[in-house]
Amino acid sequence: MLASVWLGRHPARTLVRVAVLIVGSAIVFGVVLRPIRASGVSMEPTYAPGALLFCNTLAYRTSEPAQGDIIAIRLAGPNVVLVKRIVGLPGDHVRIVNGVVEINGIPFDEPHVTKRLPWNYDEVAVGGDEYFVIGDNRSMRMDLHDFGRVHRERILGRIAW
Amino acid sequence: MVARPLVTVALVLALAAGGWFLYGSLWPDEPARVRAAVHALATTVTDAGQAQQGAAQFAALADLRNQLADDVTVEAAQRALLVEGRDQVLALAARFASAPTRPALSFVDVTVSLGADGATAAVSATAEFSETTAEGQQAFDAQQVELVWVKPGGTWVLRSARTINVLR
Repeated sequence: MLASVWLGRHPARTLVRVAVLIVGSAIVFGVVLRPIRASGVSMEPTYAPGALLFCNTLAYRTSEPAQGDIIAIRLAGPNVVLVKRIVGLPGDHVRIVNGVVEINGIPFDEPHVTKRLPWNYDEVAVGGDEYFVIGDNRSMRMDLHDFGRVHRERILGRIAW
Repeated sequence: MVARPLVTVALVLALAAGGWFLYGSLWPDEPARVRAAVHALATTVTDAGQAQQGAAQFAALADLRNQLADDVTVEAAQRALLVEGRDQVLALAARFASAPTRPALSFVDVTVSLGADGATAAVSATAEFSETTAEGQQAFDAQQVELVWVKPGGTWVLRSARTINVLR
């Protein structure tokens, strides 16, 4: 009686459906769209601490990371990642003058940055397999904000939403 | 009737998984012992941080002494920090643990590579630091670390810890 309540009139079909759902969810959310819980303020106001994000790990299989993309960067593994925005591409020269990011000497348009402190950062050349990444929160002290060049192989994927 | 074979298969799989887990818990291999030592270290440091001060923190730091090699080193290049020797590392841990923000440490994505001699292990992990700010909010920091563990007297102890710069 209890089994028919739980498994319906066709228990075998129900079990198969449940198995397919479990395997499908494990593939989608374990491999392709990895859920990420934002902790920290470096991506404010775009992402508030505690926000649930999803990282598309297949995003860069067929295309290269682009300027403005928000990406997940792996540390020792995929379970704790840094979330940053790409501002500099391979070969670019990046510097920060009075809080304004300049790419190859031209101020970079960042409409998502609402407040900025007058950060200054000497020019660096981005290597051939590197990207320059930074968070959207420029209202915090520069020494408390992790940013800089990251190797391509550390990019786990693009934040889908 | 149709479901019976499926239920049997599910039951066998569950029993196999349970047996495998039980076997691993009762007879851990050497990498599992190193992994347990890594997590035990984080627990000890967190206990010291949560205790704040007094006998509980003293006990946690005394426990930590047994988890460190005599010549242990801790290096954080981006903070220009290099601490050498067990007493100095314990002093650093005491300062860390006494912060009013109740700091906590955990290790995630732990990978163990056992040396050929079986008495050295290289560990890659992400160290997660959390603390409670004066406003009552949780603050987090994460660093990739490389740890070296040694087994001088049958017990795994930390020989060195070094942070890795992911962004440069």
